[in-house]
Amino acid sequence: MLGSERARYELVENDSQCRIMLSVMALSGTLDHTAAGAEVTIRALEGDERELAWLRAIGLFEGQRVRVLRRASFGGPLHVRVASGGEFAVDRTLAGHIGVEA
Amino acid sequence: MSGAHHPRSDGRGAKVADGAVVALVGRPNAGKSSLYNRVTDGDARVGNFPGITVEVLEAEAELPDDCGAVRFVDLPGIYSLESAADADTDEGTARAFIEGREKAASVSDAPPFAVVQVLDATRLALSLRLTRELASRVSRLGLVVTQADVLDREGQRCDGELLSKLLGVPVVVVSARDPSSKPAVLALSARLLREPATPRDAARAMDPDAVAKRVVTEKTSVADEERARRARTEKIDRIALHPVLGPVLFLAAMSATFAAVFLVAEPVSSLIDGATKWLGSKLGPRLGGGYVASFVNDGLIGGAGTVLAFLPQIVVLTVALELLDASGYLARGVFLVDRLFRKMGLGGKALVPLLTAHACAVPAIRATRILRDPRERLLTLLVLPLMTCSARLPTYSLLISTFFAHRGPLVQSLVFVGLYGAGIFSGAVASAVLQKTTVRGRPLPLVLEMPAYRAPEAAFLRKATARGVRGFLGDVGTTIVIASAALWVLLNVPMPGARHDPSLANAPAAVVRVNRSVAASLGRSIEPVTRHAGFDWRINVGLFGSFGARELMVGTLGVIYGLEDVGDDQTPLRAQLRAARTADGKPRYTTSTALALMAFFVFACQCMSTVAALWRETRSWRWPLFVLGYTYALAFVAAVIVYNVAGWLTG
Repeated sequence: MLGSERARYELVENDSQCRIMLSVMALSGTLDHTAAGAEVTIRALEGDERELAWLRAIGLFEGQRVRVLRRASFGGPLHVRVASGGEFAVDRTLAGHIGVEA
Repeated sequence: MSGAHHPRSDGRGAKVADGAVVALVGRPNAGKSSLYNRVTDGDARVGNFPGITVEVLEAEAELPDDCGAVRFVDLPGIYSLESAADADTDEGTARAFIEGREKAASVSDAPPFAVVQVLDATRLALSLRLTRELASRVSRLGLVVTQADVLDREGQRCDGELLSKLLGVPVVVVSARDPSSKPAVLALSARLLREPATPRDAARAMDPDAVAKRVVTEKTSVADEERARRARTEKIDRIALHPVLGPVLFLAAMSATFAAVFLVAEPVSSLIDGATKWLGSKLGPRLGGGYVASFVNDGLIGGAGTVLAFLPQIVVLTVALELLDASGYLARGVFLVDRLFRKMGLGGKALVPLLTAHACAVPAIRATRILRDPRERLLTLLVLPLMTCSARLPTYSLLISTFFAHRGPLVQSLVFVGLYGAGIFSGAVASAVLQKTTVRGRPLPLVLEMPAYRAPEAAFLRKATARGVRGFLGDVGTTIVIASAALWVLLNVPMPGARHDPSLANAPAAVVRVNRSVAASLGRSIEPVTRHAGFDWRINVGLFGSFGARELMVGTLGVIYGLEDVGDDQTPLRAQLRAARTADGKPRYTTSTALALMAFFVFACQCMSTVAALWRETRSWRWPLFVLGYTYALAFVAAVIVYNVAGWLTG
C-alpha cells in the first residue's frame, strides 16, 4: 500500500497561490489502491474546493461506504457502488485523491 | 428572495398561474424527462427566457382548482447548483435560470416561480443532497419522488408524508410511467403557487442519509428484488465491461449503428429524392420555364430536397444514440473509452458529442453541454467538425463509385471505412495537438454515474427524435436552402466581360451558361493554386457551393456538367466525370484527383451551420474562425500531398 503510516506533504498548485497542504491519505490508503471487491469508507477528499463540493454533491462524501466493483484495464476508471445507492465511474487519478479506511 | 409574494387576488379574472413558471429540476437519470413528458403530454417547445443563452424546453399545462395555465420548464439534469464550473454548461444554465426567475419573482406583484425537484426513490439519499442546495436558493420548493414502482418491486416503500414533515416542504410520491403521476404533479404545482412560500430551514439543515434512512423502509417481507435488479445489471456489466469482451462489444455496437444508417436510410432517402424531383417537374412548367422557374426548381426545391434526403440518416442515428443513452449502455461506453480519450486531452464523456457528430455536427455541438469542464468542452467543439458527418457521404460515394468501381466492392468499402477512420484519427491528432498548444491543461477527472440498465420508453424516444429532426431542419435546413439559392445565382449570372468559349459551340445551353457565370470565373481565378491538388475550376465551383453546405457538392458538379437533379441516381454524372478530357485529350480527373478531393472533404469544415452553432456556443467569432482556418488549411495541404503522392505511386 502506497499510503503508509506517515503523513504526506503535498504541494498543491492553485491559480492564485501555492500552498502546502497536509494530506490525510495516511489513514489506510487511497481509493485507487483499493482492490476490486473490497468495501471501504471515504475519510478524506483532496483537491480544489469547488470540485470537492461537486464530488460531495454527486455522492462521494466523507463517511460514504464505497465498494469497488471493477477496475478498468490500462489505468482506466474504477467502477464503484456507494451505500446511498448509485454506481459511479471514478477516474484513477481522482481516486488517488480520495482517502479511504477499510 | 424574500418569498413574501402574495398570490394575486382571485375573483377578478386574474388567475394564480398567470405568467407563473414551474421549473423541473433533478439529477441526471432521476426520471425527470419521462415525468416532464408525462405532465406536458410531450408537447414541449424551446422556451425563451432573458439571461439564458442555451435553450430550455417549456410547455403549458392547465393546473387544477381553476388556477389557470402555467409554464412548465424542463431544466437540464444536474448534480449540484453550488459547484457550477461554467455558465454555459448544464449546471450553469440551471443555476442562472433559477437565480434569474427567483429574482424576477421577488418583486411584489410579480407572478410566482416554483421549483419542483424530481427525486429517484431508489437513490433518495443522493437526490436529497440537491434538495438541500435548492432549499437555500428557492422560495417555493416541492418534491416529486419518482420510481415508486421500482422501489415497490424491490420490497421497499417511501413515506412521502414523513419526508414532507421532516423537511417542511410538500412531497408527492409517484411512478413516472403511471398516468396518475400527471395530476399529482399538477396539484403539487398549484399548491406551491397558491400558498405563501414556506420556510425551508429544516430542509436546509438536514442530513440526507439520515432522512433517507427514515423515509425509505423495508416492507414486511424483505424481498430479494433489489438484489435481483442489481444482479441483472451486474450480470450485464460483467460482459459489457469485461476487459476484452467489453471493448469488442462496444465497437460492434458502434459499427452496427453506422451500418444501420446505410441500410435503413438509403431506400428512404431515394424515395424523398424522387418526390422532390416529381415536385420540380410539376412546378417547373407552371412557372414558365425561365429564370424564375430555374431558380425555384434548382435553387429552392433542389436545396430543400437535399435537406430532406439527409433526414432518414439523422433520424436513424438519433434513435440509435437515444436508445444507447436511455438503456444505460452509453455510460458503459464512456467508462471503456475514458482512458483512451484522456491521452488526447479529452474525457470519456466527450464520446457522446463525438458520436453524435457522425450524424451531424450541429446537434453534436449542442451535446457538448454535458461536459462540465470548459476546457474539455472547447477542445471537443474544435475537433468534432472533423468527424465524418452524413453530409460527406454523397461526395464520398460519388467519388468512390466513379474512380474505384473497377477495383471491386472490397476496395470500395475499404476506402469508405478508411475515410471514417481518417476522420476519427485526424480528430484524435488535432485534439492531442490543440491540447498542447491552443487549449492547454488537463480535463477534469471523470466522475460518471452508471445508471442501472433500463428498457427505454417508446414515447420518450419518439419525442427526442422529433426534437432532433426539428433542430436539424431549423438549423441546418435553412442554411442549405440559403446556400443553394446563393449558389444558383453565382452559377447563372454571367460574369461581365466573359468571352464566349468557341469549343462549347455544340454544348448544351446550360453548360455554356455555367461556363460564363460568375462562379466559373471565380473558380478559374484560383485554379493556379488549386492545380497543385488536381482541382480544376469545376471542382473549385463545387467547393464554393460546399463552403455553405457540403451537401451541395454533388448537385453542383451535376449542374456544371449540364445534368439537372443529380440526386440518388449518380450514374450519368459518374459517366461524365470519367469521360471528361482536358484540351490535350488526357482524362481530366484521375484516381489521384478523387483521393485528393476526399482528403479535402475529410478535413474542411464546409458547413456554415456548424460555424453558426460554434458561434452560438462560444459566443465569440474567435473559435468558429479558428475552426474554419485550421480545417481548411489542413484540407488543402492534405489534398496537395495526397494528389502528388498518389500521382507518383500510380506513375
